[in-house]
Amino acid sequence: MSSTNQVQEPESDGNVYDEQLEMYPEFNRYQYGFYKDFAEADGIKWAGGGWSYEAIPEGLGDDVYFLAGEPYGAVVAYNEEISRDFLNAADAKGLSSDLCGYMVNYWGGLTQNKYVLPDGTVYDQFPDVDFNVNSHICCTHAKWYQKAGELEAVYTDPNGEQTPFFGVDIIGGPNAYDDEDLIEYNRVQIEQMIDWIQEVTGRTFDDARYIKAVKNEMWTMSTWAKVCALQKAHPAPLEERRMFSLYAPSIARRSTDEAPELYARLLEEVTDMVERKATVSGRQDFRFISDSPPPWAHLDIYRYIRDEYNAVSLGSLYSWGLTGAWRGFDGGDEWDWTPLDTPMERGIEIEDRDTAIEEMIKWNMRRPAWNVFGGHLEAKQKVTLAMAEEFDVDFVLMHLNRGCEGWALNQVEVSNYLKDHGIPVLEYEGNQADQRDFDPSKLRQKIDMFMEGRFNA
Amino acid sequence: MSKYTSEHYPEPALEEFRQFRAWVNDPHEYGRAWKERNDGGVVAFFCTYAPRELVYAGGLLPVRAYGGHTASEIAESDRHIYRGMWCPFSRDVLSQGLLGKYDYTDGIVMASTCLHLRQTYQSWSENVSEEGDFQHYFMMPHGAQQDGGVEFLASKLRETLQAVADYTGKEVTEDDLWEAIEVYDENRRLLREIYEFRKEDRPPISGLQALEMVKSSHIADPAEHNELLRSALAKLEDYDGPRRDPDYRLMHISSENDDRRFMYLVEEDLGFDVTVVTEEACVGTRDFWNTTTDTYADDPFMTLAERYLERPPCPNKDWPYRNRMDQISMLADEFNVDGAVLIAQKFCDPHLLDIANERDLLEDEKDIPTLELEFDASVPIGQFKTRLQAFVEQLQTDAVDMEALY
Repeated sequence: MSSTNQVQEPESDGNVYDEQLEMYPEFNRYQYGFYKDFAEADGIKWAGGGWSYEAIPEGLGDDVYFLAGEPYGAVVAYNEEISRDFLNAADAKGLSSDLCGYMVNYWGGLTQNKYVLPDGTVYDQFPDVDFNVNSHICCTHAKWYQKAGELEAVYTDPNGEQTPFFGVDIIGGPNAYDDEDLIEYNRVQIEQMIDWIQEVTGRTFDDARYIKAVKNEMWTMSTWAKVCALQKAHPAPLEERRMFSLYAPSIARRSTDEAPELYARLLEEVTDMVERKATVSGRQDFRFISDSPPPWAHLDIYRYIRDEYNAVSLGSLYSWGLTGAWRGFDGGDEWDWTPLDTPMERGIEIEDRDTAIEEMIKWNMRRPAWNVFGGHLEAKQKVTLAMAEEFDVDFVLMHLNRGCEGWALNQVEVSNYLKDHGIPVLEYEGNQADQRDFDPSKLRQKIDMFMEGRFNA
Repeated sequence: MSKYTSEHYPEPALEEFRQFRAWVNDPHEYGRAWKERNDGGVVAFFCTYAPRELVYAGGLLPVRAYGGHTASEIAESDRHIYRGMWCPFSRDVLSQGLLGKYDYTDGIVMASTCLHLRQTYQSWSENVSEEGDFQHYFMMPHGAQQDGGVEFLASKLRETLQAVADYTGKEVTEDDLWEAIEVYDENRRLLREIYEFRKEDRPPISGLQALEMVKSSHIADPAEHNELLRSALAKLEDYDGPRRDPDYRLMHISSENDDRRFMYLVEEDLGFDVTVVTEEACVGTRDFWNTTTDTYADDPFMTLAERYLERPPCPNKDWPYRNRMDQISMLADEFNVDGAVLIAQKFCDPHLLDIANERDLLEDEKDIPTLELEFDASVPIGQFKTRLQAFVEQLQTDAVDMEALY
């Protein structure tokens, strides 16, 4: 690409620091747009988790709008005052704050009948949702939308009607994409879901639209992995604090026509940065990876550790593995953080519904995050260690995240494993979406003590 | 010495219930003795969704791993499980393994149920199990109401039975499995028949005894347990011994709860005549309320799969329709319940997800008062006693026709 980023001159070490990413505002525009559309556009509106088979409802038409619950929960959490109101409202209704932080924000917002955009704009009416769909990946996900529909009947639906809900039981784990029984179980449910969404919307499902959406999803996820893989470079072109914005569309709205196109442009720009040894950060005396979603109201912890110690987070199993497509255990027992080509690139033609369903299931089953939520300790240990080694990091920043049991699964064991392999781990307790459960000043003190040790080392 | 120990609990009138108590008092002694007697292996399971029939068909004894309910012991797992958000039961169970309490077991088996017990399984596998132990984890559908679930689970049960056969080195036939299914079906039928006596105005057994009866079914050889159940049932049908005489009939709705101290507190130490007459819990009705059917009579795997998916569900398998609420409603009606204690282990996501609906159902629809309690490894007797006394006093007040007074 003919980049306009050449304005920055290399420093004496040959690197270009503090580069502005051209695509960053494009991603923010896209993200803001789909949240706003969900509030204001006319058409089919459905809500569900970012783990959902998002491509399926695309078969209902061009006017389908999706609200992904976890990214939306993060948006709410990021807006600190609003989040506090929602969380307190949920508490007042007896909805436990020990549950998933995203979900409690979501439920609390429903009880207030309010909807929030990323810039903090608040609507005094939660959008009228046509149906809720979610994939049940942990103890929570299907239950989230089962309850959401009930709350919508009481607090948000003008007619007091419960939003219809369909759950897909997507249980998986390492090599789940090779498990024919599991694929068949998912296929049966998806066929059922296609019938169901036609029934609740009164629309006819269009295979061609669906197939296009499946391919879009694959291109988006594959390309995102290719962007993340560029973090192997020295200096790493991106830092995770900004990657959170770049990755968000891949979980929240990945199967539109625009999504893969955005990611392709992003890949082009970041590839160019690597060739020029450019980075959005300053000096990178320390490289680290994180683990688990961050406390969204306090992303400044990443800025603090960067500004004080020139330590940059490259990414995490969370930001790269939730929607990035990687080869993973394809090569055997050891994890490979090499991006996975799409089925189309591997010569698989997806031209009919059956093939689309099968390839979509396998593709989603490959998500590295399944190794976490599937509860397979050895897999998570290998995945994390491979990431630390392949990306040449100095330590791991581990968020013991009370806001998500799935990401917290096996964390302590992984921490033990990394330390046994000589990789320092800085653990801190917090909550991705409940600011009441996180102490930023205590973390800064902990970071200071830890980094002092790194300098001494 | 604290009165909250089994030697202070009222002695059951029936010898069968005294035996249930003895097994619960020392499950490990039972497990070791069983191995000696049978020259067989013992396999620990963590959740009642692990089909014991498959293990038993292979000549192994499945025993549920329980916590020790001792605050000092539970810290043993802190190096392996994040105590800040994992349920005390999952941590307590692992602690027992790490402390060597289950050193006589020969393996572990786990179906994918809640993430907390999956963590326990993984950490047990990594830190407690020894080379050569049987270790089997398999996918159990969460979508118990979904199409395709029975077929999928049946495929996993086939693999599990093969894993058992591979471990023992002996062929395990479908006939072996049918026999095991029959033994466990009988166990569940008998437990339910005995529960019928808890519906009586003056029940012959206490909630504590019922808890010990069900918990011991997770410890003892089911064939041996069945013998005692049959014997107890025969005696209960013509029973003229001491009975409970409750002024207040309570039920509890729980995530895992095997805490006898709690049951003793409720029934013996509140200063009121309270009896726990039923429960919706996995150490209770959730585990045994249904048996297999003849829908898939020619296929033991499909038969077993259907039974596990049709059982009263754990909350994380109860969607999109809320079958649990129907079950809770039925139990409250049939056992004539005056009040309900809603118990969730601290951080138990599945049950915390349902507790608001349980409260709405009982309070708003059925006019049954509720009390929510959060369990840790050990019960805070003093605090719970105050809250439970206030709750029962509230039931007392509710029983008075206030309008008539004015």
